[in-house]
Amino acid sequence: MAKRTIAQFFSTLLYNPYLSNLTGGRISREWTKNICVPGLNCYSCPAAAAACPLGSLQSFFSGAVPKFPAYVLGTMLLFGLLLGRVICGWACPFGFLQELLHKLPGPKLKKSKLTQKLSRLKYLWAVVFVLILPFAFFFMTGIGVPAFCKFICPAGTLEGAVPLLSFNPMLRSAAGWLTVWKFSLLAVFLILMIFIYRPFCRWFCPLGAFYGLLNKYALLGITVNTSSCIHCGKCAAVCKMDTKIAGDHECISCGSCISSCPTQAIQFHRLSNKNNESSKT
Amino acid sequence: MKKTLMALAATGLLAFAPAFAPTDLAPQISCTAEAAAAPDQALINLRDGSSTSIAELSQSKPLFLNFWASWCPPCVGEMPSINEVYQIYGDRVNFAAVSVDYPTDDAYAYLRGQGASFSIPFYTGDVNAISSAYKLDAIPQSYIISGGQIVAHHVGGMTTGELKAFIESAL
Amino acid sequence: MTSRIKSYRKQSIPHYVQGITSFSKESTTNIKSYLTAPILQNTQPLNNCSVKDIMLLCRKEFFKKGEDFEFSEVRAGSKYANQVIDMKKYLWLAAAALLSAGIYFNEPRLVFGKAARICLECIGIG
Repeated sequence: MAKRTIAQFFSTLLYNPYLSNLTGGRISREWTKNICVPGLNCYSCPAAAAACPLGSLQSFFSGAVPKFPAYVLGTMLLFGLLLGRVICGWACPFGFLQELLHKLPGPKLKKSKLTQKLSRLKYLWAVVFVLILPFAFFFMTGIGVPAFCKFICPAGTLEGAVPLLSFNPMLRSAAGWLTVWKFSLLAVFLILMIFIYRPFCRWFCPLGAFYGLLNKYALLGITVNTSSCIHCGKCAAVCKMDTKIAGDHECISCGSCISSCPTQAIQFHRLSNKNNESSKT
Repeated sequence: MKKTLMALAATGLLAFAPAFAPTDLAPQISCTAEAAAAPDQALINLRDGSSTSIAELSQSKPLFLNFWASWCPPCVGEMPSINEVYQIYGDRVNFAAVSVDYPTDDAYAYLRGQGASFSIPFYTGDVNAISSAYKLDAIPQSYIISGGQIVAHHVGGMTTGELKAFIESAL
Repeated sequence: MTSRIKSYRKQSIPHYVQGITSFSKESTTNIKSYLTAPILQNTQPLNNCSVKDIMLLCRKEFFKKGEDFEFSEVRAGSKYANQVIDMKKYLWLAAAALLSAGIYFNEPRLVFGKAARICLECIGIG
């Protein structure tokens, strides 16, 4: 558990090293912005060193000349095939924030069949806001819009809007109804995070949805030894995400299920492990 | 516990290090319209390929300078409004819509597509130099340049009414 | 040790009702030879079960008894396992192709152009 917290803390700082920019109302133009980070981290964050994969993907669909995002898609595919949702559990600043907020005292929502059904919603948001709406706007108005970034993404509001609007009066004067909407949505998410474990990751994040689909192909992450697994369901019972079994598309490889398995069937898949007994579910 | 704290401290120190290194930061966006010398930059007309410069365009008349990119929805969203005010003020004010698309192929693609119906003069140039000179941390940005000085500056898209007021403020 | 089975999901296999032989570490006999299993004689009838279902039942029964077990080497791969392996190869190829194409067409520079400017819409200005 401590290892994972350190990894999350380190990755947050790695993605956002320019902390002195936070009060400057400015963003970095370093060459590292040619590269996408694996986790959700708004590139409008003043401290950000690199680009957000989801934001970059949508920006290719935006404006008057939409393009096929080969580079960004290839990068996301590479990250997914290497790590799958290990990124969510170990290297996403927004996931880290949700876990920290969840530690605050208060009643906690237990996962249920309902929450498992809700977890399918993130695929709907991904398809609608990341794919359909940008092109719908393009066909209707001639201008594609980064719909998820614009209407939903609380990471952009928290990491970008909060520091920039706080310290940049010119941007602040341009704020309008969209700003009100985004800040309201951010407030709702922040409150939910105290009572629900990772609600954004489980029910909204398109990036998590994408990486989840690649979980079973990823080189690293939690795997279940199918020879030893007796499908008792204990791993899913202790898991805080909406998994049905360890290592499925909802699994963020936090490792908290490893000790719960009565047959020691769960382990972290390593690159050197070519044993097919350990297969991803 | 001790090891964890030490690791966190080491990580924190390591992570803070780049914050002190010199970086290529976009300068802070100016929030006031105080007069400042307008940096001169070479421009290339997207339509006919002719060369000019910002200084040249602002020599005889005030210049409405708009920075945009084809991938930026508010930028292309305000083009019809800019075109409208161009019809009204084009005789008194020079207009220059400078694309910061890189590569410039997308700017040309826009001009062939939606931009074909607009009569605003479209330009491009050395995108990096222009971005640094005019503090293009965010786009769209519009400037009014008169007598080699920046007399008005706005960040974000504008409606036709806002554009009229913006230009009138400099006339 | 590889553990793969042929998928008989949709087939009715009443002749496997007799069960499956006990597995042992030394045994390398093909799965088809596992036709009787004393361990399964007290369980429910095994009509319309796939071999995978039978193996799962065996695992559960062995576990209940606290006995160690291991599946033997078999020849055919499960349809699912083969699919996972093939897809992985194609996905890696796709990732390489997309990255190469993207870099060739200078898309990192496009990413920079957007990431190095404040996304007004992302911060709620639009």
